[in-house]
Amino acid sequence: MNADVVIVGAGPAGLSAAITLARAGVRPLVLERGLYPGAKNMFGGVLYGRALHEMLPAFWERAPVERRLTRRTFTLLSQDAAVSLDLRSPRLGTTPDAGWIIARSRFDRWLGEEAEAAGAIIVPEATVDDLLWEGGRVAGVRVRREEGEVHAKVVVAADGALSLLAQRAGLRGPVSSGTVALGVKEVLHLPREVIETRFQLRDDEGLEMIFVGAATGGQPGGGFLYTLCEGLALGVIVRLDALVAGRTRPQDLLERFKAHPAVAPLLAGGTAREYSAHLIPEGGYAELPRLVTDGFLVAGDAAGLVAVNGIHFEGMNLAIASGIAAAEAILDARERADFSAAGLEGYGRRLRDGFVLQDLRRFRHAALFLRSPRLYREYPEAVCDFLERLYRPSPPAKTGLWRGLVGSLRRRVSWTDLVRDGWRMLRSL
Amino acid sequence: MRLIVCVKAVPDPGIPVGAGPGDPAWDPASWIWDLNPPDGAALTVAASLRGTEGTVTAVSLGAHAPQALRRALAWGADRAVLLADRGGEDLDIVTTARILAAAAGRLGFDAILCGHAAIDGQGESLPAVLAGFLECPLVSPVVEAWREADVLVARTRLPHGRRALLQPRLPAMLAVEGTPPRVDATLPVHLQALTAPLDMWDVSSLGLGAVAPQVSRLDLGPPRPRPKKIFTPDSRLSAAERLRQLMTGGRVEKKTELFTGTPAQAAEHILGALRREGSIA
Amino acid sequence: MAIEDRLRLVFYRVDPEPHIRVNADACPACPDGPCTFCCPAECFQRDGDRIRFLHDGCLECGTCLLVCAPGAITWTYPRGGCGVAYRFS
Ligand SMILES: Cc1cc2nc3c(=O)[nH]c(=O)nc-3n(C[C@H](O)[C@H](O)[C@H](O)COP(=O)(O)OP(=O)(O)OC[C@H]3O[C@@H](n4cnc5c(N)ncnc54)[C@H](O)[C@@H]3O)c2cc1C
Ligand code: SF4
Ligand code: SF4
Repeated sequence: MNADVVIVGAGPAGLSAAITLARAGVRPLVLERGLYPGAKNMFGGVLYGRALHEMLPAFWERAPVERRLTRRTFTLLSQDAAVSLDLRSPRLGTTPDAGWIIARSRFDRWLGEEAEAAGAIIVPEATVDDLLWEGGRVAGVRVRREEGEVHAKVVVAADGALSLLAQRAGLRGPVSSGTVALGVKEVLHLPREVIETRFQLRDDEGLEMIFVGAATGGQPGGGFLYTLCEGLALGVIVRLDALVAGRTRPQDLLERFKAHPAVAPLLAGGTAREYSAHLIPEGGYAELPRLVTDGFLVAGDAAGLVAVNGIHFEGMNLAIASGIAAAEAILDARERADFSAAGLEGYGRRLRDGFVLQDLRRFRHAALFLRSPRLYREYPEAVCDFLERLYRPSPPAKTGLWRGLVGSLRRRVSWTDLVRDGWRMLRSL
Repeated sequence: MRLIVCVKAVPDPGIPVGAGPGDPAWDPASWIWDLNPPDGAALTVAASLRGTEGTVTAVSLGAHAPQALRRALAWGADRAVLLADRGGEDLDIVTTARILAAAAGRLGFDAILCGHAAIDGQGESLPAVLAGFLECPLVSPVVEAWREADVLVARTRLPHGRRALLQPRLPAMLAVEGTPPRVDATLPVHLQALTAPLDMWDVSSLGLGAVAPQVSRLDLGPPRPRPKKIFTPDSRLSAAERLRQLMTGGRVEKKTELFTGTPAQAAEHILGALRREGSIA
Repeated sequence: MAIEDRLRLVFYRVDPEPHIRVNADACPACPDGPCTFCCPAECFQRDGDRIRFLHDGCLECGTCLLVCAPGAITWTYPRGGCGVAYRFS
């Protein structure tokens, strides 16, 4: 079989590339291994809408969104205590920058329908196993079906975090367990009224809760909770090397997170509806692979385009923007009939000029800061301890604020570590 | 041979269904719909009857009909007709059969096939009612069918594993039994099945007058809870054995006994062992 | 919640042909066996110094491929349309 452009993966990156191409009159073939787009996909919860809005204006009016993000909390968890910051602002939910809480299995399916309406051909139940080569350039893909060879002028690998095709194309080495995290998630059903009264939400308002510390049993990572229309999505994310070193089961961490005294009451009465697991590339700017080779581009998670700074996760919007940039670069290359790496170079330039690589660059120090193991164990404990002491009625006599905080920290962390972490934190801001 | 296969989309039986109304898993939109497996078997039979000059037309109606039809195209149908019913409500068997009969009458056929039942537990009587409307003979449940010169021969299943060989006069209705082996279509066929246009026929254009549901659903309740089975050991066993079984949660180790000797002796041993186990009297 | 109860909530269309294979010869030399605790579906069970692997609960995350340092795992995605299909995640 033949196609002009083959896109592997019907996630946000692949589908955004597909929509952009289809609108320009190129009908791409999107190969997706799942039963439908979204069948294999899960994420925490929030899609930041601007990139998608530029392609599909006011998409939220048609798309299956659960809630609009209007309230976000950040919580440090010690073994049995919690300290929270709680942000509620009318400006959080302003379109088009608003965050939308979504369920991927429904959202990606809808995005797939949009791509089909634009003229893309989506082929579900098609697992791509390998690339086809012709004189040193990528010339198509092999699908695991009879007569499964598809020849193409250019292939977009939007195949997600494991990035197997980019490895086959020689753009990167294998993913290492130090640059990737595992997320496990549970979806609970709770009636809408319960969600709205329990979390103080009205209409389509939605809440994100991020937890650091005991949420992951002190391992690098965090816990999250999102309000759905009728239910909750919650889970934990842990770096894979820490999981191995700590000999912990991710599902045990999830269970402990759910049982934490600051979390358990939020879940009361919920019935489990689904369990899921997925990897997240966390290597950031330092681990960026080469993005193109002759006849081949890599976009979204497959290129490691996820911006993480501890309390904030952005992957979908970067995937969407990179999919669009890949499609635009292909359209340029098509004008010149040059699909070589040089011909596709516009892709890298677009990413560098746009927010994708700038955000990733901005977050590159965060990666180092987030490596500090103390962030997940000693500091949450110290802050909880300090505030507990602060609020304890006298006598015993209170120490000063500053001395109290330093005291709580010093009981757990050495000066050198404190200074090092402080410096890294300042740099990562 | 001109063949029609009536197909239906059913929810995958592996779907974890929710607890009741209000539960998202109870919502049919969250289920995974696919071709009813016996309808797939009917398609396989139809494809084998088609011959070089024949056609297989898949026909479907209902909310998830496009899914069933696309799968039918991947399974060898040449053409797909979607009977669009504006109401979209669940129709009873007789009304469904009336619509299918009208569509089949318009298409013309030598044989019309369908699965002998739908695995969603609905529609077991559909083949009979449909054959009635079409005034053609019904052969059921068919396990196999082929052509001999100008006639069609079908093998049907009878009780006790017996088989009958039947030759209906044509046009005939065949209700096919079984689950087809899951074979992936080639990529070009798969793609063709996904993108081929479906013929849309509006039910109101079939000359049936108004088609309104004849049965209305009053309630759809959660499944009746299944009685919980508690393991109780066989009272004929010794106390120690009963205790052991309770402690192991009722799991019984597989036992192997090897019988040697001449075939006659071995047979004697086996009979003896079966008698001891209480398997035969 | 036990892993069986978790996995019962998930829809799978299981391909009888496993998409992941373990070369069990490497496992005796891998005392930690990270696959046995990192896999979120608990597909790997230790049985003496052997590893038993069952693919039918696999969530296709890729973790086992990345944590198996000896490279004993041959990992592919399941056949198209097979494996897990999320509906609420
Ligand atoms: C636990 C967790 C929480 C997250 N939270 C957030 C968040 O709150 N906000 C946010 O913006 N981002 C978040 N992310 C990141 C976000 O999910 C990803 O960045 C985003 O999904 C990337 O999109 P993609 O299209 O590149 O890849 P994916 O969404 O992974 O899509 C890849 C697609 O390719 C298909 N595929 C893969 N290989 C093949 C093959 N060989 N053949 C055929 N098809 C194939 C897959 O089935 C899949 O559909 C989170 C991720 C996780 C795991
Ligand atoms: S991690 Fe790999 S080598 Fe080690 S026990 Fe598991 S499969 Fe075997
Ligand atoms: S891919 Fe993930 S779920 Fe599947 S066996 Fe490996 S670790 Fe377990």
